[in-house]
Amino acid sequence: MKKTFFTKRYLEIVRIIGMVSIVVFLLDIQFVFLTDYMRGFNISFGVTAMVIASIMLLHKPFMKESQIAEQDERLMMIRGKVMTSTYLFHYWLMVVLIIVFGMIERMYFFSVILAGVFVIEYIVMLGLDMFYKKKY
Amino acid sequence: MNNRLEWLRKQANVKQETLAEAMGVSRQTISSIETGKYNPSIILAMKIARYFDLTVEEVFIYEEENQ
Repeated sequence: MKKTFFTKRYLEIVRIIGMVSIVVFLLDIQFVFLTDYMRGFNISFGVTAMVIASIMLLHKPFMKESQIAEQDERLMMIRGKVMTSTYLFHYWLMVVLIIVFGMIERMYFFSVILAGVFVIEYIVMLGLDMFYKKKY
Repeated sequence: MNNRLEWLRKQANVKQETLAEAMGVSRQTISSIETGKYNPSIILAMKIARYFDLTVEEVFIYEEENQ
């Protein structure tokens, strides 16, 4: 059974999105329908996405390494364990934060603390990844 | 579960990298199997056994855990 190589698909999709963004920019030169901000965003995002995705797709050692990393059963098991543990951590952190937020009246705390949650979760994920890679 | 993978691999003069590439896994996975840290799936176990022209039982030795 042939396995799907998701990283390749993902990068190909990113490249197509980049191309579409550039085409939109080129159409805007002719028909002028975008704001200055959107025009700048389209060309910068389009070129960046297309160039980075193309470089990664053409880099054979990177693609080979990605394919092994994606289809290696041990790494798949580790990813599964990391995601399960992080989900549980996320769940209980949200419960605690909902209680804490109930006591805080200033609204901007929401965005600051929620941004912090993502950083903490990422650190937890990295820690668990290192732990399981050492264990298995 | 114990295995004779390291011994077999060294007998066949095969590097971990070579075996890993043939199995489509990372070198660390082969290392983890050899040290007994990780037990492979049935498919990977069969692929490894076939690589050495052996049966799964000849490579991997299952021992009942003490209750």
